[in-house]
Amino acid sequence: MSHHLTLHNISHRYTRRGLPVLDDLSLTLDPFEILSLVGPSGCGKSTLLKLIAGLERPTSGSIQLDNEYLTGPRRFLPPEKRNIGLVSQTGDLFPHMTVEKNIAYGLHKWRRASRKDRITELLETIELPTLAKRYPSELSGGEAQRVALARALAPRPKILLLDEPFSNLDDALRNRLRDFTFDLLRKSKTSALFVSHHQDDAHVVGDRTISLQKGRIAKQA
Amino acid sequence: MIAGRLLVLILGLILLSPVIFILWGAAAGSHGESWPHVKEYLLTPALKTTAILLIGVALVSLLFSIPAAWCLSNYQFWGRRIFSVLLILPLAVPPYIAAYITTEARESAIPWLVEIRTDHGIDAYLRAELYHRYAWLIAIMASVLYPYIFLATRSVFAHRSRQLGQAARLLGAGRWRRFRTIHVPLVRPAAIAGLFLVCMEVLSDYGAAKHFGFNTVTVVIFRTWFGLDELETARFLSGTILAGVLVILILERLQRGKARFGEAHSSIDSLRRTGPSGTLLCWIVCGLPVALGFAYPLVTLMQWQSEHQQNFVLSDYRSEIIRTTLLTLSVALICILTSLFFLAFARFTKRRLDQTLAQAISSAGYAAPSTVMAVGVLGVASFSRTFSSENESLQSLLVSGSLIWLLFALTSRYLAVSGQVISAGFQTIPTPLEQSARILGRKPWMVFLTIHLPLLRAPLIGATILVSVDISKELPLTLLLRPFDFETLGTSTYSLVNQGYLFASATPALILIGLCAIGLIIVEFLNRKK
Repeated sequence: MSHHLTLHNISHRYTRRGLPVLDDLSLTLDPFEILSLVGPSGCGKSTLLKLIAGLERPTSGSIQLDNEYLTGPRRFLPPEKRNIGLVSQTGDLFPHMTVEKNIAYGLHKWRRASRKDRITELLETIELPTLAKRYPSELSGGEAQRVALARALAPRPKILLLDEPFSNLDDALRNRLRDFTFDLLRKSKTSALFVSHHQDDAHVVGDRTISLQKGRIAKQA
Repeated sequence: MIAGRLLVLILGLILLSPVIFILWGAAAGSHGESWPHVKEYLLTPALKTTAILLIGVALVSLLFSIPAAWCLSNYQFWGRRIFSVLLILPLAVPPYIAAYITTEARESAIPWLVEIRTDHGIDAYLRAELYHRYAWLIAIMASVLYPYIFLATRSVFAHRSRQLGQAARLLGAGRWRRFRTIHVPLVRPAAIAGLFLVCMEVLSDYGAAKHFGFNTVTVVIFRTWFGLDELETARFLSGTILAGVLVILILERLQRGKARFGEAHSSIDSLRRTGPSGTLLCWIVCGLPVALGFAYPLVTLMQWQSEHQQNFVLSDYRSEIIRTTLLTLSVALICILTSLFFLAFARFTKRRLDQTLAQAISSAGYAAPSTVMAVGVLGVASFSRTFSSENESLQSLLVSGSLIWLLFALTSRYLAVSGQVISAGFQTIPTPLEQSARILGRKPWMVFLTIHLPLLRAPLIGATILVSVDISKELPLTLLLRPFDFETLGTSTYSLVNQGYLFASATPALILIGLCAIGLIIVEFLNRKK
């Protein structure tokens, strides 16, 4: 399924009198597109992802997915109802659950048999079929990020948000995992918004790159 | 969220009703006929006595706790791990039991006091006798209460203080400058927070002060209530004390500022190894508080037990053990469920006001010393009886069910203990975990059940044990609000001493200390595992 995300005039500030983190920002994410967002620390990249995921409510502006308003003047869809995936810098795997249970977490509404099939399929896709019973503390950094990716993809999200998911890894592993992830996204035809502070990463993987500066779009390529 | 907010407010009002009742009485200025008498003859000396005890116990507790916490966090010496457990065990000894066991030792000073009377006259004798009592009570109370400061400061010394001390050293700061500019400012908020708990225990104490013949404010409230039969004056007195404590509590919160303490433990290989003289010094610093606060009471009680209670059978105290266990566990359970509700609400709601409200409700009860809380609960009880006068079955339940009021009072007072432990547990769960769960389609209550609860297992066990230990040791509230013939291990010990059976009190006291010590050891190991 193709999905289309539109952000209209989004502004956001964390405190009433503070400076705006995002300032009248508008952008679109086309179906099957991978859009890279780059910019220095504090330019509002991660905040933008939080607003799209529903973890924060923008001060003004609206967010639309296909024909539905996720956030608007009188509407706010909670994160659990948006079906948007997020992979963060630290992976945020649940430490008390095995790999298998972490991946299954978003599949609670699926039937048991299809849930099992989906987990097996994803474990094979991320090339970790033997680690199903391991706990996050028993995984390497690269393995943990791959599990986090599988967990986010499991419920077939409409859009995937990637918040500097490879920045904690060494260069060689980062490149390998980056290529692996975006191959996977292209194969599964998932639209994604990829945040990075590495210009190279952004240009390599993105169909389009947007540079953010002080909460505004500085450049589009 | 509005329903949640309303529920927090209603539950908060119920839990804080005793405190509100007392403060309202004090603000209205209503007091009984005996007030002028109480004010003139009892209150002024009682305030002086309480102040001396508070200052004395606070200073000696600091002396016992800070050097020991420093040694354990900075030096590697033989016996270090054992001392880290032993140093918290005095918490298992209730202050009134610690006071009872000094009776024989204090009597050994009688010849010396008689000599003073013969040589220097009656005034000198009275002064010496008073100082002697003060010194004993201050030393013995400090020796069982210092772990509150020890526990609060240990983690600061173990982690931040040492790490930053090393950084300051690399920047050329000498020993004194490091002490003055790094260690003291870092440890001060934790030390003051611990000191506040110590002072609250001193203020709440009834058994120890009464046994030593001191009229503290708590003893005066008891006397006004029972001796003069004036609940109105007791309420006014309680209100004044409570207002004072609340001011101190607010000051304590303000001084904490933005300080946050890590729970990190130091790794042994980075500690400095001590030589023989250093080891001896560490042993003295860590051993003295343990000897006075735990070994001395334990050995004395065991001696009394073996000399005077040889035909002791555990089954003699079966009903007291069962009652103590049931009472403590049921209050612990109520406290934990209530704390979980408040803290989960504070976690999910994003409004700062809601968070402050939920946290204030769960900690305000602790500001009321036990006797004050009892006066408040009794006031609420009499109000609810008037309110329910038309419903006979409800009224009979409220009149006869003073166990309900005891449970209510204990919950209201000790909610803060479970709240603190569980809140610390919540802080160790990173917010992104619950955000991930929400993004994966789970509603807040499901996130709470599947993410928070399993990760809070250790803090929940810890909170259950700590609340149970505190309630097992508690005396004034249970004594004032228990139903007729309802004896716990604590009240049994008190009653036996009160009736003059000092040696016989060894049995329930030993069982009580044993149970509390086991609980504390479990909590310590749970913390280490974490």
